[in-house]
Amino acid sequence: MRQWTRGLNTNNMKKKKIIKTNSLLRKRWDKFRSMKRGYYSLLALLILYVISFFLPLIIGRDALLVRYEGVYYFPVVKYYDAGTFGQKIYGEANYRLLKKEFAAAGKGNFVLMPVYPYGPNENLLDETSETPPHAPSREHILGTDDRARDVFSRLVYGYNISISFALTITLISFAAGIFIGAVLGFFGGKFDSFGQRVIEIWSTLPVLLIIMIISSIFMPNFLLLTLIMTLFGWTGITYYIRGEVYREKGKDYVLAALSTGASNTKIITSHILPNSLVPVISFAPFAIVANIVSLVSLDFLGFGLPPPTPSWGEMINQGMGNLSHWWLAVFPLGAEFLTLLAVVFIGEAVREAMDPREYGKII
Amino acid sequence: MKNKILEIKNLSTVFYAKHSGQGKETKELIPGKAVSGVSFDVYEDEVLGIVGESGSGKSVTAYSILNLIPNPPGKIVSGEIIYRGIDLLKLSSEEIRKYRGAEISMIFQEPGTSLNPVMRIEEQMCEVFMSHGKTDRAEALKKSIELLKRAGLPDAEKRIKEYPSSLSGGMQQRVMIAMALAFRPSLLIADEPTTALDVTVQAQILDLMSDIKRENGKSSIIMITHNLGIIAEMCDRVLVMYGGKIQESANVKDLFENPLHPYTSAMIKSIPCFGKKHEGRLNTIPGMVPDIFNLPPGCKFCNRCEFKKDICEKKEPELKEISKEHFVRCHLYEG
Amino acid sequence: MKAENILEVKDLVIEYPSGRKKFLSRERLRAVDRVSFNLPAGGSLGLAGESGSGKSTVVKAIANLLLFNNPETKIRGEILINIAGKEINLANMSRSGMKKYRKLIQIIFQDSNSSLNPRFTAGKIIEEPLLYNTKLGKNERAERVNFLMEKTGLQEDVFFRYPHELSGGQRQRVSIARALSTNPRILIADEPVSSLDVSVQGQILNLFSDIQKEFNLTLIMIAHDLSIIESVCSDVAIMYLGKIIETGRTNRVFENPAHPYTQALISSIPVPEYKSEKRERIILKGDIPSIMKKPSGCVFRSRCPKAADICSEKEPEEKEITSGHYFSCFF
Repeated sequence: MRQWTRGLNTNNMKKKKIIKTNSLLRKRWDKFRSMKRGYYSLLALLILYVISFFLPLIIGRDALLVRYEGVYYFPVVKYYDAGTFGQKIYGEANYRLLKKEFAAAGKGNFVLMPVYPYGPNENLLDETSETPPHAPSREHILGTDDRARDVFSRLVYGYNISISFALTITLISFAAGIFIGAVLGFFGGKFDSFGQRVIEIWSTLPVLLIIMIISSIFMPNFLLLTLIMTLFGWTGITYYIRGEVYREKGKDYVLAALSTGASNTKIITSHILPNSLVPVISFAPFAIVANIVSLVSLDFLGFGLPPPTPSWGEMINQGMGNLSHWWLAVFPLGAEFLTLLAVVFIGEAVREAMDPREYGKII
Repeated sequence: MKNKILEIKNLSTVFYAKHSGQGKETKELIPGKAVSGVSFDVYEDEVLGIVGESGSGKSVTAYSILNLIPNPPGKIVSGEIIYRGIDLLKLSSEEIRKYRGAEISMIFQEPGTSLNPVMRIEEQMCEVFMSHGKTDRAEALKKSIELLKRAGLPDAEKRIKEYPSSLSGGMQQRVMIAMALAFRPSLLIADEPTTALDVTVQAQILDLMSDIKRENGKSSIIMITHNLGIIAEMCDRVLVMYGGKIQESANVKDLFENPLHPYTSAMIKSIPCFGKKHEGRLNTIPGMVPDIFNLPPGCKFCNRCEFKKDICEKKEPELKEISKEHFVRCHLYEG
Repeated sequence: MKAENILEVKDLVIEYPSGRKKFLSRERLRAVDRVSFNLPAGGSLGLAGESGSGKSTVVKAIANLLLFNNPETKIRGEILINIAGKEINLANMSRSGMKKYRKLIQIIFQDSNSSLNPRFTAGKIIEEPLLYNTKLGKNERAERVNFLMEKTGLQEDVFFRYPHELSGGQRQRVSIARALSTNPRILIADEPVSSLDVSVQGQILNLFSDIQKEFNLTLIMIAHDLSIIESVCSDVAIMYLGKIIETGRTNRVFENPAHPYTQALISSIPVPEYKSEKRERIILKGDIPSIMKKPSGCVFRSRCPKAADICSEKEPEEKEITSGHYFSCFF
């Protein structure tokens, strides 16, 4: 055999000099970051979304920590009966009241409440005298709705649900669409023609109508809605990815991989797919927008998540019914507008970053 | 003495881009000197060849003559382009349009992309006539067919009704040539007119260009190409460009029989020449064409030159006349 | 099959389905028509011809790459390779059957830009075939890659660079290194230098000559530029509309071209030499006809300066003028 031992070990090479190099992905990320609007929108949405998973620690009715007669309780993770703390009400303890009671008694018992101590589904009729809805005040910064629930709290919890819903649907339907589209594009021929016809038929089914029918039979929940939306959401992606895969498949680097002995799976996963995802990725933020809007619309029409889930659509619907109480419509609409705007900014930046012209040659 | 029809003085054109060559990318747009300080004349009734590789500035020079540099990213930063006593760079875009196509016209490398794919040849050609002259449609059509026939398009009457995509590359280039000749321009700029074509078709097109030149009398051609063979067959005088500068300029006989610049002689030696026996390996020029964003400060060719001296890296040599009408930019011929 | 031959192509016919449909079946276009040639081990064959002559289709068939993108292609005839004394027919070999032989035949494409995956570094591109064809460990693979990079004249730092950061010449070197990494017996190069700068072409052509000797390769090179074939290849085959119209030792064919098409091709090459008298050239009329409208009889007759009545009536037989130099023409 030939002598293969000449040359250097790459590990040594890496140590010897630090070689700066830019992968295409890296270049695109840098370009994305230079698009300030989109980049900061992404940061803002992401940070808020991460925080929204820890919401009970910041916004909620359950105390973070209670010290009662020398014993510590953590109501934020566990349910305690009102009786546990000597409250004379039914069901779960009311920690805001408890805090006042403890403060008045002054026996060294204390309650540590979240920064904003109102839950999204909590009815505050007991604590207020006037009839709801209440206008924004120091206690309820965005007011309360017609069932005396805190609007700010509902809005913030609704954010998590909106984004989770949109992200889940987008992720799953993209994954399914990419897989199916790639397989169709790669194998082509009769299989492709047949698959495409099936997809076309499937995509003509009226999604909203089906959801309405199903919602009127079953009680819709997050999982069911996600499932239905995903079931009908993947078809659009297949067209894009199928075309891209078809185009990439004809390129010489794929033939080169084939001629060096790569398997079909390897050719698809490490050669064709990474190079076909560009249009799909640029499209993703807009799909997220569409999915946020569709949940809002479903909730607005009453076919969405069951009450009392804090959802933006349901809140906007309430705002429509109470037009004289401006805060009920303005805040949810404003929140939705800002979120969609931010996602559109992200989409715009992604599209710009993916623009192949940037790397083209001049003259 | 022949009359000058075009005089280019100290032309410099830059392109701004984020430099992303080897290694890191710059944050700001930096200028790439595509053409710097180029001066030359074009005389009546001659074929001037400009030869060079990618990034040599040959095409940018041609585009600059008609002020066709896309801005941004490109910009003509200095120079004069004097056509029959008028500086074309000082004209407004309205005024220069009168020259483009009528006095000076251009044919491009890719005939397919220079023609509008959704318009019939007929409409595109008549448009040329109607935009410049006061011809009516019927007259324009008659003239177009006549021109296409002269450009050697078979079945011109039938072909003119077709869309560009149904013509072959060679036929498309004939249409382009016909359009370029519509007003009997005194100067025709041909930017790699045959690079995209097959050799036998290339021979047809070159033959056509020679014929037309002979018929038109006092018109001149600037032939831009990377192919020294085309230069040898077509041109009277040659400019050799490298790194955005003219490195050598001579008549074609002197250039091939007595090349002065090391780049020119290395090029002539390195291309496989049909019919000459090669003893084993080809002669080659080491290294690669320099990047316009990262040109060496001294002689642009010094990194690849076998006669490199210390001074070559530091100081750029001047273009100097060595013998009659034979100029070269090289330290070997200084002092 | 002769023992010294590594490749024998016999009566190769390749047909594509055309876009036009006939009743119930599709019309077929014959892109390659009864092509035959032999290639001794260590030899080098140049395939020349204009676009549409079928030369790329022939080499893709040899590398078994046609069915991947056009599963409806029909291949008839034989593509025999000689592996350790065993004769194997690669025409119509199945995907799985071909797996064993892929590494023996490697191909280098014209456009170095599209033949390298833009998301892989040069090192990874050269390493990839080793993953499929050898059981080498990580460090051994890296050593092998470095060896190949050295052989193809690539600097160490190219290892970590992406294709868009390399020059055309460097990219073509990476392609060559990748092809060499499987230890092929036959190397196919499809217009390997036509997208490169003139001053870089010579370097790459020399590299082909070097590696051919060093790695004991059999080379098939497609080039439309006859001077490239003249300088690299020992044998040449000239194709026109899917047929080989003239073939033989390069020097014999180019010194005494027998077929009018070869004569015209040679005459069309612009020669970079000053001549006071412009030479007389044979200039063909018109373009190469589309493969859908092939002339009857001799395929070249529509452009041939010598065409006579007989040319449209029947096809010319292959004739041998000197040993190994064949051409197909009545005259």
